[in-house]
Amino acid sequence: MDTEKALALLRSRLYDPNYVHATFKSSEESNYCKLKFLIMNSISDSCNNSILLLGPRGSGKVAVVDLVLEDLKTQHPDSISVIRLNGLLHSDDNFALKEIARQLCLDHQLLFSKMASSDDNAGFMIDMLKECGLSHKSIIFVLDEFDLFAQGKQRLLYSLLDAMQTVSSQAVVIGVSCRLDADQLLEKRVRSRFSHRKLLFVPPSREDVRRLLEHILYLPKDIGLLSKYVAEFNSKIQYNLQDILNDKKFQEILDSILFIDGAINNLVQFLFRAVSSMSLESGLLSLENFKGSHLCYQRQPKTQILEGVSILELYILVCMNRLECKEQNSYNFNSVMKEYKAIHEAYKTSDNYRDSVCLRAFEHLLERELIGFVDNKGRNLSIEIQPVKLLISPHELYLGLKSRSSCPAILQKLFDHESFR
Amino acid sequence: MILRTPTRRITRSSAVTPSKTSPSASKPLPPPSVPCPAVEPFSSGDRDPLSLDELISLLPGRKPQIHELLRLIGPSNSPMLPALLYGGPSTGKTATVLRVFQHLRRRFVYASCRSCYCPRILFETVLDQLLCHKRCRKDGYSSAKRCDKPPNFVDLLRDALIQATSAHTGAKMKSCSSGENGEMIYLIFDNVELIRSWDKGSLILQILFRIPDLLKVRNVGLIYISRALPDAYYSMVGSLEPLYIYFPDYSLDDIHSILMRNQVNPKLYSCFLSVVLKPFSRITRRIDELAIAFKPLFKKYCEALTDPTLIPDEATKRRLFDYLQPHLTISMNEIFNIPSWSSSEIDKERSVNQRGKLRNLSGAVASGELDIHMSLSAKYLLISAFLASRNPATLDGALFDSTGGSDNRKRKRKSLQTSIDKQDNLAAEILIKGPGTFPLERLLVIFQCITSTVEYEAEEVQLENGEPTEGSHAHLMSDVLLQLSTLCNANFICKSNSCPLEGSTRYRSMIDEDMAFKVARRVNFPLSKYIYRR
Repeated sequence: MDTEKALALLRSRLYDPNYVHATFKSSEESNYCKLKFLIMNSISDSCNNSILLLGPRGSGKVAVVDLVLEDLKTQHPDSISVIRLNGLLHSDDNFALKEIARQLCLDHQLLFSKMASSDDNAGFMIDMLKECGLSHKSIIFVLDEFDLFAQGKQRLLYSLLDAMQTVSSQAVVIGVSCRLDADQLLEKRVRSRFSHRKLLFVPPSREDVRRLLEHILYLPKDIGLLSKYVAEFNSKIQYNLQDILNDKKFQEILDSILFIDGAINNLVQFLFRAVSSMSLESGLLSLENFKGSHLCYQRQPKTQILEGVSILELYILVCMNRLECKEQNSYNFNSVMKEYKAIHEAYKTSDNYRDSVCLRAFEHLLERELIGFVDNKGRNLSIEIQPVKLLISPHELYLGLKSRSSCPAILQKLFDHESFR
Repeated sequence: MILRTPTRRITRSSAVTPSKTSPSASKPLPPPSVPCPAVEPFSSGDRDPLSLDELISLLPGRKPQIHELLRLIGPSNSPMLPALLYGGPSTGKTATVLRVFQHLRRRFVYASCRSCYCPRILFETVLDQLLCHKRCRKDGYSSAKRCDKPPNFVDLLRDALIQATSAHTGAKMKSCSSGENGEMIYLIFDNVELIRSWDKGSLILQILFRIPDLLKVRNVGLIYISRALPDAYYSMVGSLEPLYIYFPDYSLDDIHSILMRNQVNPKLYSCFLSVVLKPFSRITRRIDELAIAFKPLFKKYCEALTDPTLIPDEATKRRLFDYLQPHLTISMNEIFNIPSWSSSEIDKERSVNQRGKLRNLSGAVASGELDIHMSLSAKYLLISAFLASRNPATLDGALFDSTGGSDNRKRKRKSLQTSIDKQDNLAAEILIKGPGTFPLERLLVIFQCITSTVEYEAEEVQLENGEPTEGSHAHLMSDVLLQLSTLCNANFICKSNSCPLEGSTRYRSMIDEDMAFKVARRVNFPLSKYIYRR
């Protein structure tokens, strides 16, 4: 039971990005502090402000915003009101205005009418800005996926930023985007009203990663488990974890993961997989868990698929490869069949099947996306006539053929002969 | 994978809606004006509970995937990061997920993007299941909430999840049902690769993969099932990747154990499989296609045995193998054929005609005969379309002169090397480019030429019988345009885009030579004389 509780605790920590990124709350140069400083200033000085948070996916931008806002809400409960918009959902202006009006109504306990038109909503928003400005309340707009708002005419951005400048309002606009050139996407008139403050989120350094791991993986002493067990468990796990974290192999694994994608989210996924494979009998994490999780990052999907493909389908792939080697620019099922029959006449194999059977194998390959049509416009041609192309590279095909034990030798021979003269 | 339980067959809908009503009556039943019970679509504890060993034995070859999935889902009340299960078709992904949830007895919502073929239906299905709303006739089969835009869906989903969670905790406090359910609700989206071909599909995919972030609700777990590889879901602006679980294709041993389940005479079937499995698996490794191909073969195999419950010894095995051998080669060259329901007269006629011909095992006609019924004018129209696509337009005058026939003796070609090369090139071109297009007028002209000769003979026959028929000419010409549109709908002829210069629509014949010859044989039309070739 206790091990289950420990497992559940670790998993819920890893699931919650706010917890994960709270590691860096205390350090002074972190983005958390900078953002907090900025917003506190604009609240206390009663001025408008705007800022962009940029960084690759999974670096914790929204988590940092959430942490800052949480803290500010506890410190100044009545002088902040938060509106959150997401570019995926609200990039259309009407939806955005409706959502803004809805959230404003929710915050101030007003009744929201679904039938209000977008002009009404826009007017409402401007009125609210004025009112809140007069009563010294700041409205904070969080625009997630900022680059999607910058598509099209940018009416919402313009009206928002314009209202901030003209009306006596106190508003802060926080834009969050994974495109590092998000501010280049803005129109001239919008950009002139936008302050050029940017916070960049960079991949963490080694010490930061170490701090993160300790913050997440060490169990606390006060979560209501049996005290004797807790002491033993904790010390064991600390001792154990110390060992693991200092182990060279673990460092290598960690390095290879961060090499591919340095964002913290990637690391969190790796840890989640490792933690969920923690054995429940011993209740301890071991290096094997991390190694197992690392294996999942080394998949080769297309070569994996080639192990499950039938022999006839392999024949078709090899025929297509031969046609490509012969530099036939466009070929279709009929040409592949011609090649297939030529092979069988030359080598007298036993795998000679009728056209309809081969067509079914061809369709399987299309479904698996190992081959594809050259143009997808859905022309009115039957499958046999439409030009096709291979979607795997010759090298992957070679690896796939080699790894199959039941592959007929003739295929290897045909393949070798063509590519590796 | 064909899933069979000894007691009853589980289809997807019955996996979600249990047959008995929930014993923990958390909601009052609606007034029984129309008999639709208030069934809680979430998996409550009233379906047959499944232990871990049973689960593993029901899904052969899937032990590592089951363990991986169980580990990722974790203990009850524990959140999970989204997971994507991917693998080829018929590898048991959906079956595994549903069985795992039957074992864990946790609440889930299942929506397949194959049956929910557009965003609105997908969203409404998910919401219906969460709100425990069943579509019934008195509402006109409408759903609980109308929702077709993603922003509305996210809001409604959040409300529905909160409602479902609070209803559940309320229910738990009222009646002490088995506490296995927990607070987590799992959303299972099946066949997500189909979303890519929807309108605005990429946007919907991004939203679907980001539901946990958008909702900010803690107790929802997401599982996606897909046939396409994870590479298909990488979007241009980067994506948060779910955790991947790969379902490899079944090995031959796994296929063997799956097919062996629920067989009446296991030893006999295993002898049969040892004969047929290896050759057939060279053609296809998909277990649904293999199962369909083996069914008639097994019947044939057992025909040689007098006692079907016999356990065969070596001599019997050899005898059975020899008996089956000729049918194997035929069967391997067949693809799945749906036998058509024909009346007894046609069957009699067929058996009379084909006494000598070797028929394949499913009882369908041997290849060489047309097995589609078409009206006479449709057959002629099809032949005309095939000729129009196949022959260049300049030959029409020579082929279809006033006598309606062609005289091949005039066109005997000398087999010069250049003309042979030209033939090869033409053949290669036909292979690559496919059939040519023709305008409607050309089709009608050819049709008229062909049918005029036929009526000539038909009229002679009928006049001999002493019954002058004026309508014979009308028979074949009437409703040609109607026939043409039927053939277009059946995809025998297709309409290409209209040429911008001429402005009229052009047609193209989609049938291959085999079929054209079958049709021509049916009406005794000498097709080979008219084809421009070799």
